Amino acid sequence: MRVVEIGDTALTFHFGAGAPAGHAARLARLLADEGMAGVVDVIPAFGAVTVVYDVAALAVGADPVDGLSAWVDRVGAAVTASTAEVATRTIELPVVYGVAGGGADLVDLAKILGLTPDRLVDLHSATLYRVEAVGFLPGFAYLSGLPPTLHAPRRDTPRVRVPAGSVAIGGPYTGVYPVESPGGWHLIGSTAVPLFDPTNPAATPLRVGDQVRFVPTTVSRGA
Amino acid sequence: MARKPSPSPAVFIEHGGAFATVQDLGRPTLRHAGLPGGGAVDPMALRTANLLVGNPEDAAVLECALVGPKFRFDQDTDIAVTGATIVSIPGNRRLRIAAGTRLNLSHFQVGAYACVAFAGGLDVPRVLESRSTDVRLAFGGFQGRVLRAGDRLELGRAVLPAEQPALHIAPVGAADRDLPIRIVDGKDAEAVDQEWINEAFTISSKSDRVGVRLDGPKIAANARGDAPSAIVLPGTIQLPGDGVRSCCSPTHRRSAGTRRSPTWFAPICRAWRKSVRGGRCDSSASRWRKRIA
Repeated sequence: MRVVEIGDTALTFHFGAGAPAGHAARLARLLADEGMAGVVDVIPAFGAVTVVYDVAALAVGADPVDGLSAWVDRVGAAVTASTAEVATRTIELPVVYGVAGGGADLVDLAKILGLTPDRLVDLHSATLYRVEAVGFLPGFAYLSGLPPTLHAPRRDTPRVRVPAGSVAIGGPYTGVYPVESPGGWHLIGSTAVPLFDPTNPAATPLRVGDQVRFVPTTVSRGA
Repeated sequence: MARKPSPSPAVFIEHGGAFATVQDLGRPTLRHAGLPGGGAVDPMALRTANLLVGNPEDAAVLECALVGPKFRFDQDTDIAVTGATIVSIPGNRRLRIAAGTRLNLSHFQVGAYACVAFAGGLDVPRVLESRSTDVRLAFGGFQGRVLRAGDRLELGRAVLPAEQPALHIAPVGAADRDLPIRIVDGKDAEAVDQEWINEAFTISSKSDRVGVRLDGPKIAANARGDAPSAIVLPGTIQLPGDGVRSCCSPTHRRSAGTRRSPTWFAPICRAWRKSVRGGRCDSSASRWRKRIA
């Protein structure tokens, strides 16, 4: 386990390639459930766990690095010793692929990848993805598991406006823009499922560790 | 237009200024859902302003950037201005403002961000646990946007008796141009030449609530290509490919894509507000050096 300080407000615990898939997500859940005075938030992302703290309120003594490392070690041992897996949720997102769904880059991206658009859609929707991180935008999930044939560098020129609900591919990840935003990923379709609503915290449905499947649909999005 | 008597005390915005928003301490507990922490650029200024008028430290204030707003009250109201210093407005103390008095906060002397606390606090609804405005996502604060002429913001109930003697505090080093900043090595520090740490940088006029841009010597990276995605929090220094340094501010997106994030430092905002003189946001150098621990 490698510990990296983020200024004087957070520590990131990196578990390396040897850690079992989903370890960071399960550990973060347990840490958040147990909680500690002075710990502001626990963020799992990209196989690591970041603990954000308020040093003035922290209950682990003089050295946050030692104190929080000991906490993460102890709770981490419980994760690996536990035979009861945290139930993995699988969330299905209906997607209208292609231009009808706002997927303005589907045809061009297929050309770049040497695929037909139909084949791209088949590959994209046949995969069970895992949420590696939620960030960049509220509710924006970085989904891993994209077949290597679909990996694509970001667009040379990012779009100034990507509509909410856009399903996109960027590098080794796929994801959905929960709100309108600038963005450099390739747009291949859209989903009508809301992924962020500021008036309803529960409307950020994707959590790190969840599995996501895209289901092709021809039903157009509501007006 | 005749003004009806108001049922609760309120602030009437007559000119919005450059970028005035309602802020508190933000949403630091919701970063795991991808939200930026948000909140005041200078949390110490926010806490101080609130304490001076008898509010809880985390009450909502009016944060203004570079050119502040003009406003008045319909009732006698206690306020405190902290952070940037402003012409003809005494800072860091409680001020009793008579009903009808027009306050003009448009001329900043030193600093880029000021907090104006009102006794009772700005009474806007909490959205996702906070009264802070997120302008980019258009929620929170007052209608999710910057303030403008015609806005009327209600105040909560003041708790400090009016006859209580005013408490003054010393300004926080307002004349100090060179500010040392403590730096902590970050995830990719080894991939970056460390020579830059003793160099002087200038806070660019392109800075805003999303990022502080630093002008100065180019920082050499020993490794090429994008670093893997990682968590980014306020204070993180990033090195995009074009060599421009940026240091994340409160409303920075919570995780970066693939930018290099070599080294981190935290109390950037205090440097920031000292970086401006004469109300202009340019070319006032702050020297940052690594503190010998």
